[in-house]
Amino acid sequence: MKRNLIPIICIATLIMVASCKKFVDVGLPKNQLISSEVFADSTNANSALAGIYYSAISTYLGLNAGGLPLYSGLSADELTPTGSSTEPVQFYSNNILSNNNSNAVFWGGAYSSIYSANAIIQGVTASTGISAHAKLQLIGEARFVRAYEYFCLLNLYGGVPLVLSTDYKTTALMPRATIEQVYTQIVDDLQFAETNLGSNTGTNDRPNSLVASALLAKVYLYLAKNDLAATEATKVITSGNYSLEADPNNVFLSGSAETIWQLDLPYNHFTWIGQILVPTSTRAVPKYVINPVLLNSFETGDLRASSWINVNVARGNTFSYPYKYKSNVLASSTTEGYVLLRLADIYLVRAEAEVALGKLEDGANDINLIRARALLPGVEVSDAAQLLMAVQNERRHEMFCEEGNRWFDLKRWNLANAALGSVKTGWKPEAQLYPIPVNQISANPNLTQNPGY
Amino acid sequence: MKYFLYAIILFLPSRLLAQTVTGNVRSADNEPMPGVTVAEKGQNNITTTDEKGQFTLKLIQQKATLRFTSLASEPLEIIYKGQTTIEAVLRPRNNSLDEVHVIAYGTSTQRTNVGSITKVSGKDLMEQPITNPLAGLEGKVPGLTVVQTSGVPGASVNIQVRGQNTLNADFTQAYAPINQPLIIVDGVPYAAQNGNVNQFSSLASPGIGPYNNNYGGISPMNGLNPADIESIEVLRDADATAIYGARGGNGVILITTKKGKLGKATLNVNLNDGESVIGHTMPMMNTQQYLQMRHQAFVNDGLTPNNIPFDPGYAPDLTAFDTTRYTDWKKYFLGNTAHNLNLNASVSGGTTNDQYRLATGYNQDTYITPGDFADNRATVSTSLHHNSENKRFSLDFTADYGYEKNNSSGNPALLAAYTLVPDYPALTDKAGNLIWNYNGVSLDGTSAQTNPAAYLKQLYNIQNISLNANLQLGYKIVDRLTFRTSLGYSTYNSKEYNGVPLASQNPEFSPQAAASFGNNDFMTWLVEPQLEYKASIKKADFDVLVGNTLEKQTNALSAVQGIGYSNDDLIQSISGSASQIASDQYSLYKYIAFFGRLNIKYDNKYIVSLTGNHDGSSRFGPSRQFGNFGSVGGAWLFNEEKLIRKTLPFLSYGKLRGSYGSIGNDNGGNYQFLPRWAPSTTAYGGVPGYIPQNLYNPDFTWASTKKLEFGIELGFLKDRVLISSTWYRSRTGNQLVTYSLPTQTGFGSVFQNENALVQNSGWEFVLHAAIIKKEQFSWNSSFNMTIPSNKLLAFANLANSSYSETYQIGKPLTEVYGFRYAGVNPTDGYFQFYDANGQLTENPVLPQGGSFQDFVPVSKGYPDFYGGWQNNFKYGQFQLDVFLQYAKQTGMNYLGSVYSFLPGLQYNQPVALQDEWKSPGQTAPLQVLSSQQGQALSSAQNFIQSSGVYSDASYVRVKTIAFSYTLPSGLLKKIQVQNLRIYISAQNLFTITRYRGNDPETQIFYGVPPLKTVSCGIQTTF
Repeated sequence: MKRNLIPIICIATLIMVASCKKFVDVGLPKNQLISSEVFADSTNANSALAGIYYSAISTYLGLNAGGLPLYSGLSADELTPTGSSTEPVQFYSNNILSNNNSNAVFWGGAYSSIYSANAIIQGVTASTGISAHAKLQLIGEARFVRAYEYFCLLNLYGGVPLVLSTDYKTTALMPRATIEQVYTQIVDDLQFAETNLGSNTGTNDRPNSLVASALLAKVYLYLAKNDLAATEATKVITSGNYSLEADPNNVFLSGSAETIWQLDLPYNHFTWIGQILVPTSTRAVPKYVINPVLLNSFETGDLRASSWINVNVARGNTFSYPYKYKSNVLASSTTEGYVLLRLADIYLVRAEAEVALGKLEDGANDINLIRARALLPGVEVSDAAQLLMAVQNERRHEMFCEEGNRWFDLKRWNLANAALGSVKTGWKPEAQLYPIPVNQISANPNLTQNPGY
Repeated sequence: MKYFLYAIILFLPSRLLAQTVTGNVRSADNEPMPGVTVAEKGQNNITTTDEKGQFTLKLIQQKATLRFTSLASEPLEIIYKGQTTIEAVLRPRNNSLDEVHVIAYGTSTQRTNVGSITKVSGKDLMEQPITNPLAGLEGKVPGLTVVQTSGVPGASVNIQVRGQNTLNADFTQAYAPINQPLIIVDGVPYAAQNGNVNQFSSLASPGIGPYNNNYGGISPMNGLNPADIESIEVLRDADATAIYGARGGNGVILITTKKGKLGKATLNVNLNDGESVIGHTMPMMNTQQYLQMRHQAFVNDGLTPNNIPFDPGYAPDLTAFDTTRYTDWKKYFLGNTAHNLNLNASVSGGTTNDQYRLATGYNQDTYITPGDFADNRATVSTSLHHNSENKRFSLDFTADYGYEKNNSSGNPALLAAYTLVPDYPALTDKAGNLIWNYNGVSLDGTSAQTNPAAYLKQLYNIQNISLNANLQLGYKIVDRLTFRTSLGYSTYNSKEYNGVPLASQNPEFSPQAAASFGNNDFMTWLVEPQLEYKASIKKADFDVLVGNTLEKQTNALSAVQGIGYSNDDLIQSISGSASQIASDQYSLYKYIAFFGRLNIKYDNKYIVSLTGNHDGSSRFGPSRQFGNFGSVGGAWLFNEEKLIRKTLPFLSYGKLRGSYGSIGNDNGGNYQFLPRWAPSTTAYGGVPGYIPQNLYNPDFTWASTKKLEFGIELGFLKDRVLISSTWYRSRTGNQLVTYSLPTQTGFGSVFQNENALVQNSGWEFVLHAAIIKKEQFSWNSSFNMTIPSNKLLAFANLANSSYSETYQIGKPLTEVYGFRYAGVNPTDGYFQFYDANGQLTENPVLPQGGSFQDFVPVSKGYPDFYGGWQNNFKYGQFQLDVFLQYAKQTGMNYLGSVYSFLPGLQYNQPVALQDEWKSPGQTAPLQVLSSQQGQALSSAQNFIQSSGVYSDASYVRVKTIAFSYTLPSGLLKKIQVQNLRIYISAQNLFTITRYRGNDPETQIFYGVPPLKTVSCGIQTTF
């Protein structure tokens, strides 16, 4: 009996050993894909791109989801908090602690988008199932996104690690690149995107060639390459794809003719920026009010002061709050998205470049287009310095509480100390750069903190 | 000698059937004893007594010795001298050496065990008024730390065997997941193990921040009724755990449920009813004390309190509230008496070949908070045993079902509600609606604190269904060779709800009603065929076990949030909301193992045990799935040596034992080796989005733990005193961690092996003594102590890793780092600290740039030593059990919590918080009060991260006192009841401690410390 048993056991064991390799193979996860599936064809690769925008809009007050206009507005002379919530007050008092979570969300969100962009560039390049033409299109869009994120990072933190790969072994200990290196990459990415993206995708929720031109115009302006800035701006303005909305109330609506690029929201959702700025009751104290310095600087009759600023009266006090984005509760349909680039901005980019190039008349014309929409009289063509002040003034009132424009402008005009030193108690020049989140400094010993933190 | 064991042997007229012997086995009080094993010594010839205590055994040898053994009795040997009927009387067991222990795939006794195993009996659990069986292990097992995360009903109990083995998986999370042991219930890994099963927060799961409850959650172990548990064995060393392979690296907890007992059917009913109140808490300021503190704060700031919103001097609590009003909010929110009701009934019985047990239980624990909150549990337990007439085939089936529903508030802020200022106005109107405005002040957090009665309206509930079933089939192929297979199935399904109705929100801000719905389902199945061969050759006993494990685990999580209900009455439905957000997760884990164990016992003196494992895990990439592990152990029962017996006659028992083994560890998530992308919850512009999930690394493989252990066990005075002492050391290397990376890589971490070595070592002592042993009065005492040590031995290139500011080589993994506190600066009144150079500073530097900067080790994060002391007194029909639990440790005191609500602002504070600095030159223990969030706030934030909030948290706790009276047998017979016991028991009655705070064990100020419970009950057996 025992003798019969031994072969049975042996055979049974052998069968088990043979099948055990198979047993521990659990296959692919049910609710997820792996990279090779994502880059099998252009439809799936396109979803990877959509994922970047989805992640951006779903981060509460993330960099591209209302966080930048809110927190940079507090850092600049645009917004004042009414509450004492610690983190926003740190932005307002220009004393951001390096463990500020909103600041960490900016940093992490940007690099998360950059990772996706890099993964798409790598995956699409290596893919065998995507046509050469589609590859250029997909890579172009990924490179545009990467450029946009670096543009934001650069203007918030200065030179940042220039990560262009998904290989953590090479990127984890990367030190900061210089501002010049980052800008060089941004320009390179945008030029590639401008060349390879289609001219018109029919919707404004995905970048096309003109979106790349618009951002390139801004980048050149920031780099003081005024002729290139004007050229790129002109491409956008003369494309005929965009026109200024007559009524400022329509500028931020989903169908706005003025929008060059916006991030779309899911069905019936509202923007985080609308939700945080617009009180849900007319009697409530808004969480943030327009800084009196900005409020008092609007010219009488400026349509923007009445269309883009709203007033609540509570406890006998008057509170003015930004009202560019108006939707703050779930509605029956989506009415707004995050407008990241719009035509008025590009007009003012061109105006500023033209003034710098000495084309004062052209510059004044562009400024006056924007002023006319606000029902304000045109500016006179005077000397360059005055016209520069006029364009700065116009940017301040046209672009307030929008994607960090005021904060970035003050810094590149070297006016931050002058403009903020007088209105912000405790202002210090080092506050122009936000701190690198402290846990990042910990995680990467090669990463240096900005001065003053 | 014969005092303990004796036999009455009757000589009856001899018949011709000399080779077959029959007999009766009875207990000392003359009751028939079913289920006693009767064996012919030296032969593999065994039978058991039937329900009448009778047996028949065909003897093999002419001159045989019969050995009678049972769980509860002293073994007895009777020499067969030709008598046809043997009458055996078994005495109750008087020491634990030969008590049966459940071990991996078998049983053993302490006497013959090589490994490190501690048994906690179901009786010990039942003496304590507990709902979660793990809570009953506290202080009872050396090497096992048990921490109740909260006194809230249903809250989790964290357990750890011999310290933390693995590094913090994600250093951006301040708290490492605890290495918890593998929990096996009746041979099946419990599906949900001991992780928290909740997805949403609640009173049981408040999270970090001021609640300081880092590991709190809803415990899945509540699905098991302690009344259904026969014993819990805690397996610690390599010899005991190696056979579980990768699953057992952090120790193993074997839970064995009660089984049917041979004999006529008995009905056991146990009813108890108790009440609980909150444990020790610190008193809070009354209105007068509070107002004084606030006014002082304004004086310090040079401000006058006023009623002007947004003015720095705005203080509605001083200017708009009725300052003559006083409410003790702590009493209001945490001062109720909770009610505990527990009813258990079981039927058990059986014949020689079939035994059964059926049991059901109901338990209700209400909350000490206002509101109709309670944890309700119903359980059903079944167990069936069958063996064929010839005893070759056997079948064992167990199934335990539990249903639990826990209602509470989904807003943990309720736990800190007693920071409410004592002159705060009434919370609700007569109709029960929340008051949101008082005297022009919004009571919603904008100008005064939020009305906390709102939290009572934000309901939470979780419903858990657990089922753990195992079918074990056995067939004796030939004598000595048995085939067995386990077919196990365990599932745990949890359904959760959290609602924030309109009625709980200030209507002034057009609020949105929202609700979350979650499901969390766990499933495990297991097939475990085994072959066991037992043989005796001369003086050597061989036991060979080979087996194979196939195990599959799944976990499916989903959550849906509904937002925008127009009517609160619809808030319990998903479809009533204006919009929904859904998410889900799924994971699958498969594990395969081939295992073998060889146990050789020679001459009852020398024991050798070897185990080997070939493990495969689905958590690793192709070609890295399999690993080989094993252990070797030995024991020497030296008191059996003639020389020792002669020279040390007082020694009745002596054993030296040791073991060494290597055990794999595959802890970590599933699918980690694949580059994964997950779909977005909603589409973007009509295109579904894919979001990358991880950095790609397919190269990681098994981590391994090497365990070494030596022990000595001694018995004196005929085993009336038993002492055991154990030294252990385990080293876990090639650590599997989510290695933290800067987010510039795109993610916060990557899963990989890390060349880091963690050591846990320590001493464990156990002393059992039967101090007094008289017929009428006895006193048994059992004391244990553990002295643990945890150390990071090595970490390759730590300085340049992302852990450079988390760990230090030579320090424990659990070490808390913080600023070195230097008291209050007498000049300006703010806290000051020592910087890295030993200089005083008010602005110390946080760790950064790969350096700890001004941080120094503050507290090692585990006790210096801990343990328990059990005493059992019996006097006639009375029994008293007193159990003390103790720990010597440091911990965070109340200052660490209260300074997160800056004293001087609109928060009430404990009365103990006084002696703040007031004027220059003053030496004060606490910093200046301030009504503003200025320097005082940043100074307080430094303070709560400093050694200033750590102090002694040692304690001795009278954990359980149980007093019972059993009716004498004469009286019982009259009322026709087999057994009747009346008892009263108390849990956490009082604690001796110098700890500054609420409770030295949980160290949580804004939370519920373990409750004080007193309960009375009656237990009857029919």
